[in-house]
Amino acid sequence: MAVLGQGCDRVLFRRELQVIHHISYWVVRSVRTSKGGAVKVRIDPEICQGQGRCFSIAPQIFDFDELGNGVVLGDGLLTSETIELARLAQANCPEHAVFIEDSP
Amino acid sequence: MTDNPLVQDFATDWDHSDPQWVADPYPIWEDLRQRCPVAHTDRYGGGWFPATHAGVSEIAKDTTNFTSRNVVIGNGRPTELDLPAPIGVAPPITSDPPFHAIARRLILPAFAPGPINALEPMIRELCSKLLDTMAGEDVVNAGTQYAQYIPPSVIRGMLGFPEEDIEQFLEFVHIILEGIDHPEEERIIEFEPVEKYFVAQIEEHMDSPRDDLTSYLLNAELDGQNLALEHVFGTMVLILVAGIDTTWSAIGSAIWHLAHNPEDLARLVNEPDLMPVAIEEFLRFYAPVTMARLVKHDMEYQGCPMKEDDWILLGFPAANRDPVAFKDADKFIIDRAENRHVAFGLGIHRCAGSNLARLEMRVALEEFIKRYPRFELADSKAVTWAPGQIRGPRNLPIRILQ
Repeated sequence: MAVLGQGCDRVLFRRELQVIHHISYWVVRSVRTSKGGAVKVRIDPEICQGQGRCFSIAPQIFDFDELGNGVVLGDGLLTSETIELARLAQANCPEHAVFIEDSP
Repeated sequence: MTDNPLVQDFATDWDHSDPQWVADPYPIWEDLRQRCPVAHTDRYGGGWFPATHAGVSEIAKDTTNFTSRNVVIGNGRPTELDLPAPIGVAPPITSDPPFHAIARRLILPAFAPGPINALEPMIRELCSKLLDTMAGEDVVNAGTQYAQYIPPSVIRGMLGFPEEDIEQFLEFVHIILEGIDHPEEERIIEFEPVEKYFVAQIEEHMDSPRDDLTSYLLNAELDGQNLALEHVFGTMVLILVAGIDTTWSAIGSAIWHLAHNPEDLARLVNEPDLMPVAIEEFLRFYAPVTMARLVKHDMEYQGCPMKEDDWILLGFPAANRDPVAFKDADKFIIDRAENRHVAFGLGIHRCAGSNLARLEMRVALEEFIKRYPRFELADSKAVTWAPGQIRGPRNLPIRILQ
């Protein structure tokens, strides 16, 4: 039983480590504003016309819907690795539909 | 070309079919931007030409004061034949809100990146076969032997028309594009064989539906009902008119550029990953398409007294060269990283076929430079440019270098 218990603990411990790793990833990697908030990217669906520039330039951040309009993948939180790419996509959108802003 | 007298001053008498505009419109637009950002003409029944990015952008997005019920400038003011949608001539390009959104929603899924990207192997094989037919020639015509064939062949495949009908189909394309500004009575007669063939294809697809654009349109529903057959037919014609000489012009212009800019050609040959960025710069610098609008009611725009039914020529290619909107706007920069060009228009009428156009351009250029890593213009004076609202090289003799 002790062995089994240890094993269970070990599994739990590993999971905890993963969670900690995951959280620390966001603490370390996500881009923070001076006030400490995260930075998010979003597409305004009223402005987007499906020009297709964002998901071509940054498929890690953007995808397209069944009409070919741009959508943000996941929660849109930007990391130090993705923010420049998001800014590049923003700078290539002819409709000015990509917004990079502080997440509340 | 028209028989109109030559233009002396494009600010007060512009004409997009004037030989000077057809040969090299860019200095004209730069001059207009500096002294008269919204030019006027009494030709074509009267019209206006905004030469700045701001002007083009503002009018393209303003569906309150400007209508799309005719997007190709005719010989005079629009007539009762240029009716607004619902079905109209060619929805959704000739539609205004609110019907526009419904008609556009019908066709967008067929032109979204998913289904379009699936065409890549077919387009690559097509380009490769075209290049095979040109093999061994020292001078090839990249316009008439290559670029011209790519879009119609792709669209024939998308519509699901038999491959053996390609020659007949090319003839129809010719009739439709050449006849676009012929008088209505002439067009009806010219169109007869086209209509007959299309109707036969529609009927054939009704009997045996398959996975192609014709069956897609036949299955599409509006208010729970299948589209009227005239709507299906109208949209098929729109796809032909909008998807052929536009992309053919874009491919031709890119080859023309590479033929006299060997450093850019070498970069694309050596850095294949640069192609998508280069495509956007080709689109900015050589945007082929200008579209028209009509003024909805008498109004003043930037001090210009616009009258109901005056034409507006939306110069997307001129907007793309505006130094206010683009750094070094008059320079072709093959790796331009920030490029908000408007080659596919702006606002609700963004070209529905833009994903297809980009794919055709990329594959056509990739295959061409793979086969011919070095080439030049065989005779620069022999290059001819299409007049009117779609600009691109038609005759394009290219000398293949070893």
